[in-house]
Amino acid sequence: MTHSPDSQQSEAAFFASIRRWGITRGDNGFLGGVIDGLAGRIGMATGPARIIVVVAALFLNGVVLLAYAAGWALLPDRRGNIIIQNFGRGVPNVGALIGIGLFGIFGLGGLDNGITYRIGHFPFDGGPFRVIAIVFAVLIPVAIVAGVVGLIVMAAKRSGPSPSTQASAQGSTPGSNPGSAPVYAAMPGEAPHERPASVSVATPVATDNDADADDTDAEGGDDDGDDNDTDEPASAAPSAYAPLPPLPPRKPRVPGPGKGFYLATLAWIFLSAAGVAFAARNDDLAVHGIVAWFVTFIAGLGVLLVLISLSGRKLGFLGFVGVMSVLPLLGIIASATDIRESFARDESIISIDFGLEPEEVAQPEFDATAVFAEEYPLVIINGACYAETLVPTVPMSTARISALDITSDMSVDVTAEVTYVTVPTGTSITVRGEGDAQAHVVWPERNITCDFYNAGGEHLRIAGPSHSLELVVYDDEYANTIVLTEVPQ
Amino acid sequence: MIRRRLVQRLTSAVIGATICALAGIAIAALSGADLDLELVLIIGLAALGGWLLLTAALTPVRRDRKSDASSTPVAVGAPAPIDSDEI
Repeated sequence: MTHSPDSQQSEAAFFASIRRWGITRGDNGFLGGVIDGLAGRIGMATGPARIIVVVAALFLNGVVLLAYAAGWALLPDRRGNIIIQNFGRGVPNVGALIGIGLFGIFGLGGLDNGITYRIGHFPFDGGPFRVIAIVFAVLIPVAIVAGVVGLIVMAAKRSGPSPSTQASAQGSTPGSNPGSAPVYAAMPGEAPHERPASVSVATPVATDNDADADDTDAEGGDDDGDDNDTDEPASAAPSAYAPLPPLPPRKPRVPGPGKGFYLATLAWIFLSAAGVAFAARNDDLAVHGIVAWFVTFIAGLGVLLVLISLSGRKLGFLGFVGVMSVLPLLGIIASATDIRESFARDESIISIDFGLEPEEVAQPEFDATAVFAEEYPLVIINGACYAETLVPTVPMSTARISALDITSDMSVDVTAEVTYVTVPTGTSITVRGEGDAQAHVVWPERNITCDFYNAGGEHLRIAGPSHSLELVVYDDEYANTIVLTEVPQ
Repeated sequence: MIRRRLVQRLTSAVIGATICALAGIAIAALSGADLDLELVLIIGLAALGGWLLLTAALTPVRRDRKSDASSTPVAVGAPAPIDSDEI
């Protein structure tokens, strides 16, 4: 595995440092070969390594997916190809990029289902404790992943210098260029510098024909001509090899966004976040801050993309980010009203109502005794009342009670989830709970709903001039809803 | 280092402009503006067509008959391709 000096010099230090780790993606992986490569590097069989990762994913699911996506994108394969680097060079591996994107999306979506979810449920609901809990919820998984990565790198280093490192050492012999020797990861047998000195050196070194022949990597599209994985001569070969003919000059290409635009994008990330945070501080946001920041950032990114295009450069990775943001933007536009209402209701990003439970009471609590005071001399309400009519739409059971000709005091057990009771106006109503029974009492005509969550006892008493009807609720699997309809006598 | 020609720059700028416009629509929708999405779509299509028409107008037609060299990027500092009709 060799690369031309031109490509070595143009490589960013970031990717060069990754290559120096000596960790590559394997050729026999299911997807990106990350586990295969890591397992092979530390001397572990691939099967157990996959089991370990799957088990880890059960506990750190979102983090593991994100780590896999990062490894897939940033680790070189055995021919030295780095997905992100090739993408920046205008040679995208579309299949791998889609896979990385999906892993990233599912990883981000699963962050609140793993250990972060459990830590996030800190026993304090608000204030600084909540902030501390969130910080730990992010830091702990990151620390775990960093520790695992550190252990893998340590294990890789302890297993001895990698073939590429050996190559670098050999390249430092007199006559070679030690400072700029590339350290592309390569497996034993692939590195040309491992050949014994007795091997004939009159011909250029063939590098990885075998690897190309049985390449079963899922990416499939890496052999793009930019890989430098053909029969190129070894530019940093030891002096035992014959002098090699010079490489042809590389075809000039339109550059990507460049450092300036990348830094401007990074700056816009923070500036837009600061602007949205300031708006949130002043209660100027009508939607969740995350949504506001996302659309603000993408708007600025669009401007940057226009500037990049007008400067004659290729959009590169920023273009990929921009195109990938189109679908979320369309979703936000389509559900803008829902997003606004969700934030107004409980400051959430978006809420989905499956219709399984009665809707939460959003109206403020009010004093319902004043409503009944004109008709009932005594009103006792041991609960909270709201100016709403809330009745479960799909109850498990329904009952109806008509007490229009009530001639004496009566007591009726209420067992159905929803019980419709019709009484003459002025009838004394008492709702009593047995045990830890809870109840809702609804007056549709008056648009009043009273919730009685206090365990047991007398929930409600409305004492009128007529006979008394006592409704007894029990501690069953649901809170009984009593719908009271008053008809004139 | 090479750069794209003017027409190529304007054409690729459509991507950024489209993303920027979509983000603007999203901001307006999230701000509670009552958007007529049908009208917005019509305006967007008209703007896109106008933009592409502008780039088409800027494209020298005579160069289309020539080799691909006229449509490939040019190196900064290198002599500009000579159009015999302009001499």
